[in-house]
Amino acid sequence: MDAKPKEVGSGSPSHLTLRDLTKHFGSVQAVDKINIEVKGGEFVTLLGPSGSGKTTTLQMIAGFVEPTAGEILIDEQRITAPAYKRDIGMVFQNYALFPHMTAAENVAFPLKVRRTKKDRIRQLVTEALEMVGLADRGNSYPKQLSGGQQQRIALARALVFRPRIVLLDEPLGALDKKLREELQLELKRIQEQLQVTMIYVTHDQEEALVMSDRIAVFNQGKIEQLAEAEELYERPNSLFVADFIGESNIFRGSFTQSNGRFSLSTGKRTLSVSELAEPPDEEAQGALVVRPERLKVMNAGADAKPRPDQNAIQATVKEVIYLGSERKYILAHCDGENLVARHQVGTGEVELRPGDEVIACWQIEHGVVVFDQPSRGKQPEQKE
Amino acid sequence: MSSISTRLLTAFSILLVIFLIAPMLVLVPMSFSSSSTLEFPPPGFSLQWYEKLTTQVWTSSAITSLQVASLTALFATLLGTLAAFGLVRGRFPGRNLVYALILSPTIVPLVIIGIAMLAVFVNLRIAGTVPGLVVAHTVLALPFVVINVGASLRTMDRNLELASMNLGAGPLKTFRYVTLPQILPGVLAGALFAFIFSWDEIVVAIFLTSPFVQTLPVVMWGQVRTQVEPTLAALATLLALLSIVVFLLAAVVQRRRRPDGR
Repeated sequence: MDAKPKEVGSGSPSHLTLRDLTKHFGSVQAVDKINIEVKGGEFVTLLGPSGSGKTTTLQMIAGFVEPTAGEILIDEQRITAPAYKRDIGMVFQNYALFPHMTAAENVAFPLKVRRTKKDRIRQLVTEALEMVGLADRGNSYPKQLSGGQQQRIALARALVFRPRIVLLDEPLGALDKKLREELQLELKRIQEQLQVTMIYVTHDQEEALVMSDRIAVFNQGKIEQLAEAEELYERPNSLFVADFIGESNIFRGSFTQSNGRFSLSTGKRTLSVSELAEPPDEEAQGALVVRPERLKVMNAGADAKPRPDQNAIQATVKEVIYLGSERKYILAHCDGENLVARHQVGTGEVELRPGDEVIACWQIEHGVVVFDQPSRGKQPEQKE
Repeated sequence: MSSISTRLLTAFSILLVIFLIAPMLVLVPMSFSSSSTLEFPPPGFSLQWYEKLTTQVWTSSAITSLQVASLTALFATLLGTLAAFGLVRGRFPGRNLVYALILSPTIVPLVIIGIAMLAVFVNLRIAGTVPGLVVAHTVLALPFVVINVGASLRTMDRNLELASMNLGAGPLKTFRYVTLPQILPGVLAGALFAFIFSWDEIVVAIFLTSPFVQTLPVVMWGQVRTQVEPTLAALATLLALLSIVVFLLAAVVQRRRRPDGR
């Protein structure tokens, strides 16, 4: 029979632990030994391309999908109960509001099934609707509300019963950009106000950067990196993360060491790199990642002299893209892919035109080193 | 659109409506006829045939029909909804076979079913009884419910059920508060079809009725074969009226449901 979950409203925010969480669909490893520690009141985003396992992970936490192996712990207690006994709120991408109930009835639903007293329900529903700024739309049916309003109601419904954790599965995916940005900030405000632990799934890296305390980057069922936004952007630990978060200029090659100085050799050129965290024993394969805003571009003239603490590459301007607050330069050079540079507009920089011969340079310490990892994805037969 | 094609379409539509309604236009006046045979136009006005409908043979068969049709609708809807739920949501071997078996009464000739059921029901001692008729009609009406409810379940957003579970409602509460309201139009449509099927059904009923337990269509059929009286016209008029009322009710219910956005 139905659960009798605890009374609404409980103490400090819950923390969540995923331990070696694994899910196979047939021979497909959707999620492969995930480990995450989410602190109470933290906002953690699971970020990754579609099919990387982030939604499956969320569904396992919610109890919709049975894990193949591993465990889920909330406040150190292992969770195996069916979905309706877990006390975890969830916001769906398509809102999943009950069409035959008004907004207020939707929000009241989790309280009603918990047999909360009528006047308490009324009070909590009013508060929840006020929190999302829709106190006056309680009597509307979902179809009479806009997409953004529906998502607010869905959020109110997922929060009203004070769940231990709230899961959000690409909740803003169906909304237009402006509304999305507005709701991102509002969601973040509500999360901070209620001090509730939230797990957010998205494939939109910008969204992840805006909202999250920490971001877990998913790739092929594994977490590539779990870190704060800034660290993820400035110090990606794999080529995948560097490529997925923001734009990158990537130079592939092998690292070498001579006279205490480290460099990357791409075959056609040698680039200096800053001191390596783990110096290569032999010829370590890897890549050097340089963010577009770190790349300085200047006309190749007599006065253009890169400093010794910089790497410099001769290139030709291929395209100039005006983006309002900044200009984006696409540069062709003799070795591999085009370079991308971004310059703030209005900082007195020299204007460049397509066809100009230029020198692109960057501070050595702004280049991020990532090593190739031993082959991923293909694992030997797992044992249960 | 050119006015000629519009006019042609209008003319065609009017002709079609006349074609569909014409039998009624003949039937209704004949039911008020003073003549004792079916003749058109009727020579005079009389209510005698309606009066004759109040005799015992008609009223008792009407009551039997009503009992059988109501019980059939009830059982077919209950069983059919459960079956549809299992067939759409469940994952078990032989699912398609079960589905085909449930739908098979729609393709097997009714005469065959009637003979077969009679043979079995005689042994079970329920031939010629109301329960026997209800059992037979429930089996035959089941496909209407399974098809209607199944379609509703398939088009329903699965996330609504997940959301309900997530919000703390167990399987029973989820079915009662979320799934059932969503598929209710399909359930009601299935029930309506089941009722009308049983109300109209004659072939199997001929096999399973006795001189003491007869449904309305069986009595009508008997009348047609022995004496052709305007009583039949009177009854047909009433039945048509009943159908119109039922469908108007259905339309009103449909409209009342509109605001929830279906």
